[in-house]
Amino acid sequence: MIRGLRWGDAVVVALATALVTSSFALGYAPGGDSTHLVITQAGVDPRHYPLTENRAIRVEGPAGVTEIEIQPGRARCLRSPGNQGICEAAGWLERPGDMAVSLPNRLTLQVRGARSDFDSMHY
Amino acid sequence: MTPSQPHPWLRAATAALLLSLIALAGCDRKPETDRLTFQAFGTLVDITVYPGGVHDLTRIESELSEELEIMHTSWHAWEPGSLGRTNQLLALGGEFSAPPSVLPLIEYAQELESLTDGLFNPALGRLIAAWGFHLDEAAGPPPDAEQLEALLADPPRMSDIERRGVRLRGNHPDLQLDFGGMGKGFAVARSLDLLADLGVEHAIVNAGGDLMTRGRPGDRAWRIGVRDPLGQGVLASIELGSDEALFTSGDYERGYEWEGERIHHVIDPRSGRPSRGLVAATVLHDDPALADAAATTLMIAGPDDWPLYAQRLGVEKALVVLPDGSVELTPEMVPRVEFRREVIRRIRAAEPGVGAIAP
Amino acid sequence: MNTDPVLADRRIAALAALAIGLQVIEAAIPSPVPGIKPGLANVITLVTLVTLGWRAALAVTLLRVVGASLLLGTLLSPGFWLSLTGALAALAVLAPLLRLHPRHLSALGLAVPAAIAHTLGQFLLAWAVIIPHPQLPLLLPPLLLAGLITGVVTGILTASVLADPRIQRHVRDPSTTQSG
Repeated sequence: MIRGLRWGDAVVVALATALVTSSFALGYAPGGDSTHLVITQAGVDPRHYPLTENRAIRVEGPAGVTEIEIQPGRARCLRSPGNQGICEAAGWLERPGDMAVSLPNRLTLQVRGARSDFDSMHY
Repeated sequence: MTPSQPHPWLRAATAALLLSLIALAGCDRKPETDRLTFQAFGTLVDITVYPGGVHDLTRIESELSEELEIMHTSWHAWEPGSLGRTNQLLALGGEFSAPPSVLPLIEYAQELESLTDGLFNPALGRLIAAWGFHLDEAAGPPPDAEQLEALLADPPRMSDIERRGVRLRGNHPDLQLDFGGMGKGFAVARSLDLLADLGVEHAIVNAGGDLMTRGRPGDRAWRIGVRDPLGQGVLASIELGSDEALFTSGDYERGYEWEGERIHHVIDPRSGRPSRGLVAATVLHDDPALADAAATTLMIAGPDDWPLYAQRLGVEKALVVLPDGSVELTPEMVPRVEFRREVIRRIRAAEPGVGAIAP
Repeated sequence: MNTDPVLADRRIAALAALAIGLQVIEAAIPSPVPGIKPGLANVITLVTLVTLGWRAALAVTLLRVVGASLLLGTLLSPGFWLSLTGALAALAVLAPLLRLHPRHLSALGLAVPAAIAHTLGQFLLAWAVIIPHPQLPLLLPPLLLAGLITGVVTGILTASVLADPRIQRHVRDPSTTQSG
């Protein structure tokens, strides 16, 4: 082992590791720069969830419960009322701007990025 | 080993490293705009307002969605409403007073139909219905050859509507209006006016991807991402100033698979079938209704003739995507588009004089 | 500490020669990932810094960057400017941190910030001037990780070099050396 290590070394290495880790988390998360999921529902303020760790969210709506699954860098509509399965069919939302909609629950799920490049998406 | 008082230099160094960490995390800039997303007009409406944090978003949402729902019902092509009643009265052949919500669309559609030689023809509601697009979820079967022949034998035109002031008379028994190709343009413009009434001077109204701007976010331009019609991600970015509308008509929007073939909702009045040769047509113009109708028209005009029809409609800035992924655009559009991926692009202009010659 | 100017110059020349040698050898070994190198010449920079002070380290660094690029034929090419920027960024971070050595920081604690600064400096130059591509920031995290790893490696190497008794007697220690 190396002799002469100082406590400051630990601080410096820890800070540098934090810098590297956060740079990966911010700039290189799976699915580009998607960082959070915005859930909007008619008449309710939008709710934001970070796309950092596994998480399950249940949202009550007029037609029932929409189940949302979050994984690092992505999110999806797992189950939602309605027989057409439009919300589920959107699949994994990974890129900023990706969106799933539950019409019966008047619910939208949209992934946003830290570097929100655009004021609006045209398609 | 640990001294009780950290050395001042160490503190400074720690602070510097922490600061650089924060600077890196600081990419998450403070929102300068507010976004509002809700369902209305049969699609997803996305409102961007500037500056952020000052407007009553709940009120904006309720007022806008109410107004959009009224327009949606008025102009719905197959559900009961003002347009539904108008269609019934037109089919009867007698004279009647046009509902005020529908009249401006009819006037504009007549003008556009004559400019495009019938390529843009909202009188062909029956043809659209025959292809299964007058259902909430478009579905087959598509019309067979015999049905198509009957529908195309003597197709109705916008000029079959006789107009005297607000009085209308239908002169073709098959005439059925469908404003799918221009209603959204009117709705977006009306929404911006309503936003202005609510005290919002700087905004984007985006209805299902088609959008229009008003005002500016501070001293910069609005930044619009154009989604790639042939895949995921962003094809290009476009900067918009005030009062600019960006509308796209694409074969991926509404449609269904039938016997391995993709049936989409842009029907070419010449063949009576879904248009071919272009994946999408995008128009940038200060008139949203024109931009909407022109995008549909260019889509129908196809890869050979789209510059000609753009010129006839007075559209200078347009862009089309071909099935091979390449892009053609007008010279005036070139400086407005910044492509975000490698793309083969060709500049196309209508040949001088060609647009003026009537066929 | 010996202040004989001729001896000091000789030491700088010898250290610069070592650094140039290391950099040229490193350039000859193909890197598995383009743009990522172990940066062994930085060991010399650190040793110089600790034994002879930051002025000598600056001299050795400049001699190394110019000398190696002359030998490699990259003088004034983008690679040269990247190398120079990285080296100067590392020195800019090292100069204040040197005050903490060896009481609060060992060579490892110097090498890691130096390597990170080296990476950041090069990256900023590349992004701002050479290739301002919007996707380039995606390259930064792996480059920073590589910087961290090479920083630890050069730190350990530097520490073992400095632990050698023949070097040890030159090491500046605030408690034993008088400045001037």
